[in-house]
Amino acid sequence: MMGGLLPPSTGSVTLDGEVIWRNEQIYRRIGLVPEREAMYDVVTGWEFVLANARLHRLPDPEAAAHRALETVEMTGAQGRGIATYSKGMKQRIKMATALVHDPPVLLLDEPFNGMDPRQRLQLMDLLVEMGRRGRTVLFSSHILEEVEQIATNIQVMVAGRHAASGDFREIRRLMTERPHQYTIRSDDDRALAAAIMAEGACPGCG
Amino acid sequence: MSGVRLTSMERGTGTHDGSGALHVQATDFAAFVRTLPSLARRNGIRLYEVSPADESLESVFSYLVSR
Repeated sequence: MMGGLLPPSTGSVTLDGEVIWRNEQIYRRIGLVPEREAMYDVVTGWEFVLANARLHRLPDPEAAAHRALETVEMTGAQGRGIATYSKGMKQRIKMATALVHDPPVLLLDEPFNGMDPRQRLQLMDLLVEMGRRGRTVLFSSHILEEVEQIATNIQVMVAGRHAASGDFREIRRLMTERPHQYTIRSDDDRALAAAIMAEGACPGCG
Repeated sequence: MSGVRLTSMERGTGTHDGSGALHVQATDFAAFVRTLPSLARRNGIRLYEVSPADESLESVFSYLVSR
């Protein structure tokens, strides 16, 4: 729905007040990185990104393609066929095509899937950097450790429903029905335990 | 301390100073973090570490799922 591929069953999805559904102009401001791995294997990374730059009718497609490939650090391998790329490299080429028209919003569907730890770290750095440069970066993931490390605003979906929203520490704090767990180390744990118990006016403590 | 529950106390194994650790549950997060330092000071106890044991997106998510 956010990528304009599905209509919402009720309500509307908008970007800066503009409806996304059936509005192809919106793609000037959105970069989409789909989860699907399938790409045009017969062309090189350079050709693929350049073709996308031309599809956007950018004034200087070569310069735009070069800049996008530089952003994802793929200029070194841009002359190779896409079929020879690793998963991480394909992911970065997909990212370059999504970035070629310099959109303010970047949507990524499960970008960490199938990546090895080194590729994941690279991608995390890249996403953080994009955010720092003022882009809105929105990605879906079920790899919660990564989400926790790089996301500033988290939307939690449970079984297709929106369950919580915001910073995960804030969300945790709002779950008041769950007592907070702490690990404490001190120079006298036994005395501290006794002191905590002595202060405790809570029924059933102990 | 009101709303605080001492869940367990470890002895010796695998900790940096061999003294173990306390595991505490606090229902009132704000009251707990306010009270603990002064309580330790009044009893002449030095705190080395106070760290949340379930403050991760993983635990938040599992709590949301099990609701």
